[in-house]
Amino acid sequence: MHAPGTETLSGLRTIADAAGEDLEAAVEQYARTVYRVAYSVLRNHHDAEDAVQETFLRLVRHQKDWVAVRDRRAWLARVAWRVALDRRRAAPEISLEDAAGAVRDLRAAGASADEIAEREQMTALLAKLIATLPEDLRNVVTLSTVEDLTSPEIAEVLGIPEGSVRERLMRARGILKEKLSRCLERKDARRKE
Amino acid sequence: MPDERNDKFLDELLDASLRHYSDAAPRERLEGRVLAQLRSARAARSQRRWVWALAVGVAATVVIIAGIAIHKPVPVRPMTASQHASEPQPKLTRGPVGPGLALAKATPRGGPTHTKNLAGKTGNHGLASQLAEAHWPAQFPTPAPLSEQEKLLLAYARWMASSAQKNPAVEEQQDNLEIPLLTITALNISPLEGEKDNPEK
Repeated sequence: MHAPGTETLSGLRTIADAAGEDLEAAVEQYARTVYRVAYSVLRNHHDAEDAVQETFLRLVRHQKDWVAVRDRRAWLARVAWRVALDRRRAAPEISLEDAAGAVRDLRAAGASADEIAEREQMTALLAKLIATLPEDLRNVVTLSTVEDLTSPEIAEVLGIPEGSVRERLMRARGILKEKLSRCLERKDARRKE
Repeated sequence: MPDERNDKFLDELLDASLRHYSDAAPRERLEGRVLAQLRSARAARSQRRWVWALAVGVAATVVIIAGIAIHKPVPVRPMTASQHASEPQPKLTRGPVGPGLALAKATPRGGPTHTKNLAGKTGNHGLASQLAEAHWPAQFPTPAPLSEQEKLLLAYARWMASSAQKNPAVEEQQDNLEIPLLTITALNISPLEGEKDNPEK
């Protein structure tokens, strides 16, 4: 037979252990998603990893609320999104013209869309184009690039209806396509001159 | 045709670029690093909690000890007559001063006045209970200021002591004083007239 105090203590330890296990399980399960969300904003591995650490530290601080969270991935994605926005610095200056020229060269050399898309220059060009979008469209596009996140999860992260996510995504995509086309044509025209 | 091809290429390029945009793989053992930092943070947090709990416990103990020390009743030392004489004499009032307080401050010589006060306020019936509740001094009888005679006696005693210190020869002389022996002469009682005439009676 245990003394009442011993039972209470062991009960508290059990709760603490369960919370610790829950936390470790959350890290194992969602760390990469959190990382991608942070990276989509920060575009830097070190900064993204710091944001992941900060996100899970915030989870430790709000561990009591964690039990009641329904969609844990979306909850963590929202925290990571805010942490990343707080940490976002000015992106390193890459010339838009240089990036567009490199993409044009790849296309002229017969590279496929997938091959071009994997290149650093294309990523830099896309980042420049996304940065020119209005904020509401930019946020939706940025989160949509995180392949783990679904439209409902993006809606929860941003606090908007799911229909708005789809509508903004279509608008943003149209704008990006138009800007990309102009960018490549301009370079092409200059070359012809 | 070229426009369509170009449009299709742009769609594919945009799709692929957006797909690769955040397809960044973290460095290896990301989860391990995060967990290690979380464990250290939790350990530091629990350590801070212990420190706070300890500090609160110490503060509570200090407060309790201070409270006990403040509220501890001071033992009443019996006052000597000389000490009492040096203090200002308390005033006997009939006003808002409670009976217990008035009793405690009253002197035996002021007794009649004080009794009158109690009796006048509450009557004889409540006097016993008031006397029982009264805060009596530890010393009985209650020390009182010296009367004129006592003060004179005290002054004389001090004078004697000081004169003995100043002139020890006086004391010695007093010790060496020879007291003449008392001589008691024998009683010679003559019989009464009647007894002379009739001694048998």
